[in-house]
Amino acid sequence: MMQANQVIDAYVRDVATCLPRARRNDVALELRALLDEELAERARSAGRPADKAMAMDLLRDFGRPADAAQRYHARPALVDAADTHHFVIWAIGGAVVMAVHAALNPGQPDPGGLFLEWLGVLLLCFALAGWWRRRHPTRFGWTPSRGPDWMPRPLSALSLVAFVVFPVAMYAAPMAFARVLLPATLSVDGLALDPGFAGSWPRALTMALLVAMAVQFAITLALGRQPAWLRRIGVALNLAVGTLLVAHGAMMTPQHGVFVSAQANTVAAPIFLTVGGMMVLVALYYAWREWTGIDPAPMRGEMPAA
Amino acid sequence: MVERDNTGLGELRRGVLVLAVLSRLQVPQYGYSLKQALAEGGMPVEEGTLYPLLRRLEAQGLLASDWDTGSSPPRRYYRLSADGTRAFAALAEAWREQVRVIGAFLEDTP
Repeated sequence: MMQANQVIDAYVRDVATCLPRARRNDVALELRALLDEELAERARSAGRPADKAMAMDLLRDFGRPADAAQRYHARPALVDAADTHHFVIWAIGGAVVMAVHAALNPGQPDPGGLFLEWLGVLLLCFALAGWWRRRHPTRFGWTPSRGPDWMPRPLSALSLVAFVVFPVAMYAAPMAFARVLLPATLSVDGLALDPGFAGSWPRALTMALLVAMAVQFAITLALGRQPAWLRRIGVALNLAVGTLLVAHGAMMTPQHGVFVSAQANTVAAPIFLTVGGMMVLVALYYAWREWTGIDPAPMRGEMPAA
Repeated sequence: MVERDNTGLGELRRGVLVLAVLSRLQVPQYGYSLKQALAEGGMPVEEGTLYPLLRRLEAQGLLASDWDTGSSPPRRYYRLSADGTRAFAALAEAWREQVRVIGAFLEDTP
């Protein structure tokens, strides 16, 4: 049966293995002497020789060897406690992206393995960020953000022009859009719309929603800011258009799709799925931000209603 | 063993532990004798807290230590360094000021 001194030796060994090599012997020697004295005192108080149970009782008060070693030599957490909230959000966000990607692309690699890789990348990034902050504590001071309403007019104007050019014009008249962009030597006939699709309600609805999104950008430009009601409309529009684009891609076959050309349909299907999926994810992200945001912020000198 | 509590008493004790340790180390002590001295003075401390604290204070330059290998078992004796003596004087002064302030708060309690 294990003797009391063997129990103490085992404990000291386990503490020492959790310490940097240069400190092991020194701490182990002192800890061993202190534990011996503590144990001898307990034995004197109990009026009997020290035994294994008495040693175990003493060591319980010291805590796990790793905890004892941490008190001698504090090591930082891989993910700072203050970063746990953001770590979880990024982890869940990545899981949602991978779930959507896997649903849209059934033949892709194992999503479980991808998620584990994502967690590994996140862990590495957060650990490096924490290490960098500890090395340069004054370099990463907090700065106030401009708030969710902030949207300067030049940025609004740029967004409006870009939006009208890229999705709206391209979706409304893909052949004309390509004709403007591509050299005249390249044929764009394959981008002619399938007659069945051109007159369909999904196309009409998508077109209407895209125009509504352009109007949303125009209102933002006129106001010079993005109030909550406008942001929420934007989230709903993004979600609706994203879903419709995913539906476009999911229902396309080479013979029956958006375009007359089978080759164009084959190329366009994954693009619709990707763009639509990204719009859905962006909408979900902004919906989450709206849900977690404080709006309106309490006024100075005014208490929020209980 | 020192009892754990959720009333803030443990936190209060931890806050003044450095001052108490420095006050007892005006004469050299080894870990266990220091623990006994603190307990006899009315401040029982967990072993797992006290011994690493001595190492931390030594790393900060407030304590100096020497092994006495002539005793059985060998013991590491800690004492105040010159910086530790200055820090002890400053902490003692700050403590007296805190006692005065908190005393006034407690007197003023409605």
